[in-house]
Amino acid sequence: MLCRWEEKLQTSHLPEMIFGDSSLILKHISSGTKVHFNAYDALVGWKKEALPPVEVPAAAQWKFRSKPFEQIILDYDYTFTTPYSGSESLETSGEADSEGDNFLKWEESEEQINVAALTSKEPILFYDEVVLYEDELADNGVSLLTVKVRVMPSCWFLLLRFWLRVDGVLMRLRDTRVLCTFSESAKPVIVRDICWREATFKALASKGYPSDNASYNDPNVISQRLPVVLHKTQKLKVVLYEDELADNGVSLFNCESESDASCWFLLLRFWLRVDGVLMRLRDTRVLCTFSESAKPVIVRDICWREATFKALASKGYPSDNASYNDPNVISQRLPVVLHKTQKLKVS
Amino acid sequence: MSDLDRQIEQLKNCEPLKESEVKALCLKAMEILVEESNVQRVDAPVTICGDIHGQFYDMKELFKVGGDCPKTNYLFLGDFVDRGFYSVETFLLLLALKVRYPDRITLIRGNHESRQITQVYGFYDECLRKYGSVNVWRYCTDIFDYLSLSALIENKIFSVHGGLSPNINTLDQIRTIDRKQEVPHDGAMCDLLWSDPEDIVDGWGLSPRGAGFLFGGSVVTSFNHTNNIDYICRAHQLVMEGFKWMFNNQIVTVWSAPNYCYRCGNVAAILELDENLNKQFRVFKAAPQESRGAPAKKPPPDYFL
Repeated sequence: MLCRWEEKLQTSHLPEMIFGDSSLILKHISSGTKVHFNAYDALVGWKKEALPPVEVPAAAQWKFRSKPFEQIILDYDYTFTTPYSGSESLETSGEADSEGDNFLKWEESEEQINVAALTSKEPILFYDEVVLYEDELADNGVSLLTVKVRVMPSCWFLLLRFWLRVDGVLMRLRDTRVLCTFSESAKPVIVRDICWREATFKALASKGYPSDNASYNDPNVISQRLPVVLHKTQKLKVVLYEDELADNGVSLFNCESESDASCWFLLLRFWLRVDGVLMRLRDTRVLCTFSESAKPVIVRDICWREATFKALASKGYPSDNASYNDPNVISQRLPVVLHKTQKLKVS
Repeated sequence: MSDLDRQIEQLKNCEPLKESEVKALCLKAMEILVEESNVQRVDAPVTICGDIHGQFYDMKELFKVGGDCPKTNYLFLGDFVDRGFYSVETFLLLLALKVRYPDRITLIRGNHESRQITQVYGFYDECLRKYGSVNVWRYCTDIFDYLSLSALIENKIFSVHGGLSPNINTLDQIRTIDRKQEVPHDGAMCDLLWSDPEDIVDGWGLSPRGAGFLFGGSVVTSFNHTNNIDYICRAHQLVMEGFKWMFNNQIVTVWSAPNYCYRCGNVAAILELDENLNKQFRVFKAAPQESRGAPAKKPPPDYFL
C-alpha cells in the first residue's frame, strides 16, 4: 500500500506510522451524503500545501559544520502539516443520477457550533478515536493526525486534529470540528468549525509561558496559549454546478429545500462574483402550502439583484472581493433589477 | 542467592528496585563500562537487538525467542528507554544483567540515552512518578555517559545505533572520541547515534530539519571497504517487518520493539549470528494483552469539545 501511495503522491517520504486502512465514515443513507476522514486525502493536502521545512534549534550550530564532499539538502515538509479538514462525497444509489453532477461543497456560514449545547452530558451512544498518521520527527517532536467522534441522541460531533510540536521551535494545532444536529422534520444540517493555532516557543517564552518541550505534551491543555491564525465556520451544501472563473471569482448554482407538515420551500440560487467587477444574484423561491380541502398551491418569487464593485464603493460599502464571500450576508446591498411573483396553474 | 541475582529475579517480574539499590547497581556498572572501548569487541555467537523503548513485556518476548542471558550472548544497540511504560524496569534489568554477566551482554548507547531526550520522551517523568524524585533518573543518565558507542563483531560486523558520520572514515577515529559526556548536538559522536541511511542520496544528505546526516550507498561501500567489514548493523528507525537490508546488503536495520508505542502494528526482529557469523533473523510479535499490565486498549468515551 505504502509503495502505491509513494508513487501516487510522488514522494519517498511518508510519516513513520500511517494507519492507511483506518478511516472514519459518516453516511446519511437516504441522501447519500458521506463525510469521511482518511490518511491518504490528508497527505494529498500535505503534498499540495508543501510548507518550507522548519529548522530545529541544532540547525544553527550545524551551519558551521564543515560540509562533507557532495551534500544534498532535503527540503520536503517533514512535519507533514496538512490543511485537511475532511473529505465529502455524494453517493448516488445504483442507477445513474439524472440530475447530473451534483456535488457537496462547504460554504462559508455565519452559523456557529453551539459549544454550550455540547457540554450537556447526554449519553454517548458511540465513541471512537482513529489515528490517521503519526511521526516522531526523528525524535524532534511529534506530528499527529487523529479524528475522534461521539454520537449522542440529538447529534453527532467530531474533532479532526492535526497536532505538531517541533521541539524548541514551534507548535501548530489545526482543528476541524464537525457537528450534525438531528431533526425530525428537516434534513440534518452539518456545520464545521476550522480553527488553526500556531506559536513559536520564543513567542510563548516572551509571554511568560514555560518554554520547555515537556510542558507541551497535551494539546488540550495548552491550546488556549496558541494564538489563532485562521478561523472559519462552514456549512455542507449540495451544489448543482460551480466554476471558479479561472480564479477570477465564483459562479455557483445551488438549491436548498426545507419541508414540514404544512409546506415545502426551496431556494434556487445563481450566485456570481467577478472579482473587482460585479456581483449577480438570481434567486428563485418556491413555496408549496398543503391543505386538507384544496389542491396544493405553488407560488414562486423571482428576484434578481446586481451591482458593480464601483457602484458599491460609491455608496461607501467595502469594495474588496473578500467582503463578498457570502451572498446571504450582502444580498441587501445589491439593488433589485427584476422582481416578480408567479403561481403555478394548469391551463 | 546473591543480592544481584535476587534483583534480577525481581526485575524480571517487572518490579523496580529500591532507589538505594539502583545507586549501588549503577556504581558497579560504571566500573565495568568505563573499561569498555568506544568500539567494543564482541565475539560470535551473538544475538543483536535493536530499539526496546521501555516495552518491558515485549522484551520478555524477545528473551523467550532469543533465549535467556547468559546462555545467549546479547548485543543491544541502544534506545532502552522512553516512549514505553516500563523504561525503568527495562533499563535496570539490562544493566543488572550487564553487571552479573559482563561478557555475555553488551549495551551500546542510543540517542535516547541522553538527559535532554529523556526529559521530553518519558523516562524522566516515569522515574519521577515511580520514585517521587529524580534521583534514579540522575543515576541512570550518569551511566548513559559511560555506555560504549559501537561494537565490532569478530572484526567483521560493525554495530552502531544510528549510522555513519562524515567526520569518521576509520574505526580508529571512533576509538579516539571522548565519549563520557551528554550526547552532543553535532560532531562525530552525535552522528553515530543519530544519522540514517537514505535511498535517495548517494553520498551525504542533510535532513530538512537542518541538523542530522543522511548517508547513501556509496558512503557505506567506502566505509565497509576501508575498515574491512562485511556489513553494518544498526537500529534507530522503525521498520514494519522488524529488519531491513539496504544498499545491496551492506547495511541492515534491526528493530526490536513490536507494536511500537502499543499501536503501530509492526513486528520486531533480532539477528542471531552463529560462531561462523551465519545470520538468522528471528521475528516476533508483541506480548499478548493479558500478559502485560498495560492500560486498556480502547480509550473510554470522552466528552471532548
